[in-house]
Amino acid sequence: MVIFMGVTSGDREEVSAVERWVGNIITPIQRAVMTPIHAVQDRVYDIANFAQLNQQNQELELKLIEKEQEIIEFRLSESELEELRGLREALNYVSAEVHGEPISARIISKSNADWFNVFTINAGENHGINLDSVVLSERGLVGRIIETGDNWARVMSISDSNSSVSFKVLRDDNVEGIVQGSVSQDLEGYLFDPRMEIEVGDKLVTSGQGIFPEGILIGEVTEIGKSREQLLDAVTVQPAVDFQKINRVLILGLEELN
Amino acid sequence: MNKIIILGILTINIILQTTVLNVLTINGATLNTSLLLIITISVYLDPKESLLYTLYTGLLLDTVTGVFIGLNTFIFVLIAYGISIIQEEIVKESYLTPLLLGIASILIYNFFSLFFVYLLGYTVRLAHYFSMNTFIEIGYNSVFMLLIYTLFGKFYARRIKEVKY
Repeated sequence: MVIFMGVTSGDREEVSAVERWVGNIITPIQRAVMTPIHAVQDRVYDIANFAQLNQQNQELELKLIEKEQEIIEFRLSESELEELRGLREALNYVSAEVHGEPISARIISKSNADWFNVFTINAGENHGINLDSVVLSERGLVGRIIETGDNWARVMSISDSNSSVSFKVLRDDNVEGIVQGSVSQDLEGYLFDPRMEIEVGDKLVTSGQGIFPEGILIGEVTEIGKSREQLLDAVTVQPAVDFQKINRVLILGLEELN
Repeated sequence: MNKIIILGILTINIILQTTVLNVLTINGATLNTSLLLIITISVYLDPKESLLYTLYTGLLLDTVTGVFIGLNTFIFVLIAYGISIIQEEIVKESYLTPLLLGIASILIYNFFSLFFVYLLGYTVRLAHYFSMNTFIEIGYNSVFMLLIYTLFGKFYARRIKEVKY
């Protein structure tokens, strides 16, 4: 059983036939169960918030997201992007780029253990979702697709202990590092260069290294300390997305470019 | 009790646990109704029969939740086996029985989960085990443990009566 756990713990190219079969049977039932729950959740939310206040709130949220995106775009200077593209071409580096229309999906089930942040969505291969597709919410980066079925897919969130994301600081994009999920809901990580400065309150965005495209909001630094080896600056980051409350996600397709 | 009814209850429970019950969290603490059902089944049913139900529940939960296959199965079997050993000594009618078994099982479940998670290379701290969430989780699950245990106990008693007469 322990060996079985080890085999199934890593990233797998494809789910087994049994898992796919069980998933194809169970997920439509889960979707059917969650449909009225989602409807009730939406209604309760509507009642709890006065219509006008709700509308104002949504408008303000949209404006905030817009402004945050503007700041991100402003900070990611064009010259630096060109420089990186040049370097990539020079090294013949293969990178993943986002393509196609984003796909909207609902979360239909979650793993209930605190130390895993894996959830199932109601869209799969039939909707054009592939392994490692990037998952977002309106607030920022959610995670990536780790398993796909015909009409369902599993998402590993960035707060899962098995997930890691390279970041850059929005205030100064020379400050780069890596964060990974932890057993708590926060992300933990370190800077590549310990001489660089990072502050509490700094916003972190994806650096573009790895599968996540550049410039997606990851979260905000809440704590800075020395790592156990006392060599690197350890950072604790509160994710921009509240994984307890998330219901809807957007999935971006990926395509490999030379 | 009809095996199909029990298998049906266990399957429906897994669907509810991964959907509706995941919405009903208290400060992030969730209900592990699969574990609660396994404790109850292990107390009332024949050890061999309860171990088979435990294997089914664990494997199905692992497959549906998509985490390491075998993690829930291993811990559930361990707990069911432990209960089957002390089954003869358990006072089934006492309300303390489900409470104590529930608390012990949740602590064992969390301990082994973190242990295996650590073995598989995840970062784990002892603080996670003794966090406030664990206490909320114990309290939350204990209420449902009493409910499930009492309902199953009544069902089981009725079935024994039917078999006798």
